[in-house]
Formats: sequence, structure tokens, C-alpha cells
Amino acid sequence: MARMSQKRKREAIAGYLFITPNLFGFLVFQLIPIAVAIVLGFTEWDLINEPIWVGFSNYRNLLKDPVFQLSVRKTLYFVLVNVPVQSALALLIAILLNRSIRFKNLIRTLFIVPWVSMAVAVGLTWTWIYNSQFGLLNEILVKVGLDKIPWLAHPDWAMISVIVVNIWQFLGFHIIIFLAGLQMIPREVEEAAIVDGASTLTRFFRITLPLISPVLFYDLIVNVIGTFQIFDLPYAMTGGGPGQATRVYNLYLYQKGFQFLRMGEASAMAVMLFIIIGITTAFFFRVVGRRVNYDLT
Amino acid sequence: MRKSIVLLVLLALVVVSGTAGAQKVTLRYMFWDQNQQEAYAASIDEFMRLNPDIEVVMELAEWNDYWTKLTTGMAARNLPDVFWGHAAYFSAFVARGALLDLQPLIERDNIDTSIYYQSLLDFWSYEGAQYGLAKDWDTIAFFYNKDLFDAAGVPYPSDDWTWNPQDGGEFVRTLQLLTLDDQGRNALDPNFDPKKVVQYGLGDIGGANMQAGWLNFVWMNGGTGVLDKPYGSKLVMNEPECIEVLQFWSDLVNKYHVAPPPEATVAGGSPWDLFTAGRFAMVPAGSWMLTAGRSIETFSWDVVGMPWGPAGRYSAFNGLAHNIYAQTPHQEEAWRLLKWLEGYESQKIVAEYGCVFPAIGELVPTFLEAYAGRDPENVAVYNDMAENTGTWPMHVNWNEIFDIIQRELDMMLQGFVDAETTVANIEMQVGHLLQ
Repeated sequence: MARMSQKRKREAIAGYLFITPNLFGFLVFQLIPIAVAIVLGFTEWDLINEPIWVGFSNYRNLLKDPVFQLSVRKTLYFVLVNVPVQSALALLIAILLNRSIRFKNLIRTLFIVPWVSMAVAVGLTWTWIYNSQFGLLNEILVKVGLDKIPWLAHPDWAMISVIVVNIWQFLGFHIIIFLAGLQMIPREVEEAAIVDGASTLTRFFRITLPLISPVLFYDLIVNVIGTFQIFDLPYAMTGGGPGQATRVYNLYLYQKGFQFLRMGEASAMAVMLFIIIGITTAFFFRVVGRRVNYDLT
Repeated sequence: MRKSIVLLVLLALVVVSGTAGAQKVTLRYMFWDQNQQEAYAASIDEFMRLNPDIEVVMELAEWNDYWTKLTTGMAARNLPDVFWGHAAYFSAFVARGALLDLQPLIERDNIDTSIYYQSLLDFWSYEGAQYGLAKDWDTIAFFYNKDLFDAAGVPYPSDDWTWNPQDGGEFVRTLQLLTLDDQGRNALDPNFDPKKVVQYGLGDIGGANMQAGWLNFVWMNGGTGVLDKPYGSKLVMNEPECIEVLQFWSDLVNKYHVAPPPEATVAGGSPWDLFTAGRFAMVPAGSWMLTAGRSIETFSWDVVGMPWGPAGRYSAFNGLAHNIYAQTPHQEEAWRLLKWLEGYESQKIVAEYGCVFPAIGELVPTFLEAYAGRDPENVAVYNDMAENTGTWPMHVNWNEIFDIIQRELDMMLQGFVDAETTVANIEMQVGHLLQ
């Protein structure tokens, strides 16, 4: 092997030094806990006594547990509703904000505020708004002569009510990503299309969409991964209720670990979620990823 | 020269006091009720004065975080040395060996346990060992807003009022007169609109409110409760007496419309907030809420005992105790603190603040004196409620069992299922947890 030149060696050292803080954080807060969780997933641990090795029995028990199955279905439903609606809305708003409109900065800020707020605070505020008896929304419905809606009170409504808040809360984040993508589109391409007489719709589907497809794809992956891990909002808004209506995966995981003192099973759940997300992401890379256009010229 | 001698002496002093400080043992003390902070701080100050070798640090963790903090603390082997215990959580901790057995220490120091209510001591005994003495006790009664009664022209409830699960009796009639829609019509008015209620007769009847809520009515109807016995393996909620009461509880919301569905008070405002805002005429409240009641300034209020049911009048009787972490490195000091806190002098200091009923019967009058000349006038009713008490359900998997019970009961209270189906649903889910 050829020896590195003095200069390259120094550069390499500098490089590693630059990533040290990040690498340290990754090791301590991510890699080690992940390894511990994988090991704990094979044990029975009540947080108090020493963990006992039980092999795959946590996984077997979980797969048989009806509440576990239910929490998987609830989470899938959450992802399937949240991701498409949120992305479509964010894209639409980003396109509008990309034009020169009045109060552009003010409107952008308004969309960002919920995203930078604490999820628990957002959730609690919305429980006030949604409250079936004394809440703002129902007060308005009654004022205009409609019936009250049991937003968080009825199992058929609760999930969708939580999803709406989630869509609203993180809309700003996705808008920013899309805006960045839209601003990458070269002006000339758009202008050329206008000169050629392409309609707005054609320009959107033939130019805008293909040119921002890497950004769309990135956003899709981030959104899917993030939504699978939804926790704060249902935790703060419904605690998983009414009944089991909003008991999403991570909420059940948290309860298993910290309320029911079954940290082994909770760890196994974390590992399984990791696998589920891994498979889903791989699926998207195969099916959607190959259609992404990385050529901006 | 003289200056340097002074300096040397000063230096020596610093060194000496420094080492003295190092020998001082620091105990961590965790509790959840801010209302009791002042009283316990006074008691602990006195303890530290009498025990200069011990420093006690008080750590307040609100109820909602308290148990998570304790369990994560155990995982990290970093727990307060002395902390408050609650019957609902005790069984899970003790069965897993997290608490120190006090029996040998009680015997060694000849502690006279006869000064405590026996039923309180029983809470903390498990498989022949004793894990706590007794800090306090509590019973359940109703807080009511006198101004709302006056405005509705309804006489204040008397101590001999009654209820029954068939038509609700005097209890439900009172609540109906106090439930008003946006036109000011009460729930007995034929034109009353249950969809536009602005003031409810009763609040805080969610599935989670077992201690101050539905369980008391099960007992008053002659039912056993939740489990056949403490640490029992049989669910007895399918007794007809219990199902009848649960249906009655649901009727309060869905038939009589005198109480809001649990969601309306769980999400949004706590029942207590809504009571203090004058939205509820009455709430069931444990005696531990008396101190919180002192901050009510906008209306006058009082307490009334539980209404008499078909099988008499019952209340949950519960009490807290101090527990010691089994792995504490300062076992002896922690025991000294616990002995002090459960002892006569400390309970007297705390009783004088009037925040919780002392576990030592002799001190109850001291506690009641703290209420002379202030609301509620009828505070002694909590003492009467201790005459007939039900058995508190305990189980090593209680957290999981109760999670199921409260979810299913809330579904029932929202009016989606009847009581019989609810109990069947609960039975189906808790079976494997009871063995």
C-alpha cells in the first residue's frame, strides 16, 4: 500500500477530528443504546432485578399479543393517512409560497411556528380545542347550528383528529424542504417552457415534479420513518384511548417498558420497529427510488 | 506574624469543617404532593436539627411523572433513599424486591406499631414482611359548590342522603337540579337539551377514578370490588351488584346527563379545574384534596359524605407510607428518617398544617383543629367515612390490569357499550395477568 503523503495524513487527521464530536454523540446516544436494546430484547427485565436470558420468547409473546397486533395496524393507518396528505398539502403550499405573494415571510413563519413548538404542548392545546363538551371547535359548530362532534371522545374520530394535528404541526418542516427543492429548479428551464407555450399543469408535471423528485423522495423517506415513530401527540392527547383507538406502536412500547415493567418486551418491540422501518425504507428505495431523477440539467 | 496565625487558624477551621461536612450523609427524599411540601419541610428541618449528621434533600416529582421516575431510577440504580409509597403501586415494587424489609429494624428498635390504624399497617405487609409503617390516611367524600346550590334553589345535601342503582334516588335528583343547559333549564325540565349543557351536577367519574369514584359505589351496592381478595387471582367485577353499579355510572352520563363523559374532563381541563371554575356543582374528592381546596376564593364550598346505598355507606380507605429503597447505601440513616417521619412528633407537626389525616389516631383532633374557622365546615365527615371501608385491590400486575379496566370503563362511560359487555371485555383481557 502506498504511504500517504504528509499532507494527506494531516488532512485525514483533521477530518476525523472534525467528526469526533458527532461520532462520540452517535456512539453514546445511538449505537450503544441500540446494541443494548438488541441484547435486552432477548431477556426478561423488570428494571429492578438483573435481566434473565429468555431467547426469542419476547418475540413469540408479542406476535401472539392482540394489543401488539392492534398497535401495528393503528400505526400503519397513521402512516398511510398522514404521509400522503401531509406531503401533498406541503407541496401545494410550497409552490404557492415560491411565487411572489404578499406577506410571504409572515405566512412562512406561521407555518414554521407549530413545528418548532413542543409536541406535548401542542397536543395539550389541541385537547382543549377538541374537547367535546367545552372545546372551541364544538362551540363554533353549535354557534353555526351544527351538532357537536366527539373529536377525541369517539373511537371512530379520535385517530383522525390526532392525525390532523400531526399534519398541521409538521407541515412547516415539509414546506421548507420543498421550498428548497423548488428554488433549485433553474429559471431558464421554466422560462423556456413558458416560451414554448406549455400550460401550468404541463409545466408542473413535466418540469417541476421531475426536477424536485430527489427532494420529494428524501421527504417521503424522512416522513415515513418519522411517522412510524409517532409518540408525543397521542401520548399527550389521548393516552391511546378512547379504548384502544389511538394506541400506536411507540405508545404501547413505552407503556410496556415503563408502566408494566416489561423492559425486555419493550426492547424487542423497538428492534421489531427498526426492522419494520428498515423493510419499508428498502421497499421505497426499490420501487420509488429508481424513478427519481438526479439530473438537474 | 499575627496575620499569618489568624490565616492559619482560619485555614484549619476550613479544613476541619470540610471534613465534618464530608462525614455528613445526604439522603434523597422523593414525594409527589406539592400541597404537603410545606408541612414536610418543617418536619424535616426539625429532623435535621436533631440529627446534624444527616442532610435531607427533598425532591418533588408530580404524580404523573413520579412512578416513571421511580422505575427508571431503579433501572439506573439511582433512587431516592426514602420515598412515598402508594397502595396501587406498592405491590409491583415489593414483589420485585425494590423495597427494604423493615421488620428486623422494627423489632430491633421496639417500635410500638399499636399507635397506627391496623388496616394501614396491613397495606405494607407482603408475605410476612413489613415494608412501611403509616404516614397518613384518606377517605372519600363529595366537595360541593354552595353558591351553585343556592343559585338553583336546591337545599344543601344532608349527611343521610341516599342513592340506588335503579332510579338513582335522592342523589341523582339533586344532580339533575344542578345540571343546566345553555338556556338555564335543569335536567328535569322536559325541554332540557343534553347536548348543550353548561353546568354539570357531577364531575370526575372517569374509569381512571376508581379510588374516589365507581369502586365506592360497588361496595355500597353490596359488591366485593375488583379482585376476590388482596393479591387474589379472581376478577369479581362480574358480580351482578358490580355490573348494576357500572351501568348506573354509565347512566349518570348517558341517561341522566348529569355528568360529562370522561373525555371531556380527561382531555382539556382536569375535573378539579372545572370544579373550581364553577362548571361542576360537585366532585368526589379524597381528603388529600382539602389543602388544594384552600385556594378556592370565588365561591364558598363544603363537604358531604357519600350518599347511603342499598348496602350502606362505604369509602375507599387508603394511606401512604414512606418506603426505603432496598439498595440504599445509607440504610441506617434512611431508617432513622423513616422512624422520625412516621413517629408522633413529626405526624403532629404535619397534622397542625391540616394537609393529611395523621396515621396516628390520637392526632386526628389536632388535624381537625387546623380547620377551625375556615372552609369546609363539615371536614369531620372524612373521619366518619372511615367507619365502613372496602378492600383495596392489590396485585403484582396491577398497573397492567388497571390500564385495561380504565380503558374499557371509559368506553362504557362514553356510551358505546353496556356494563355487561364491558365487564366481559375486561375479563377476557386480564385473564392471563391474574395468574
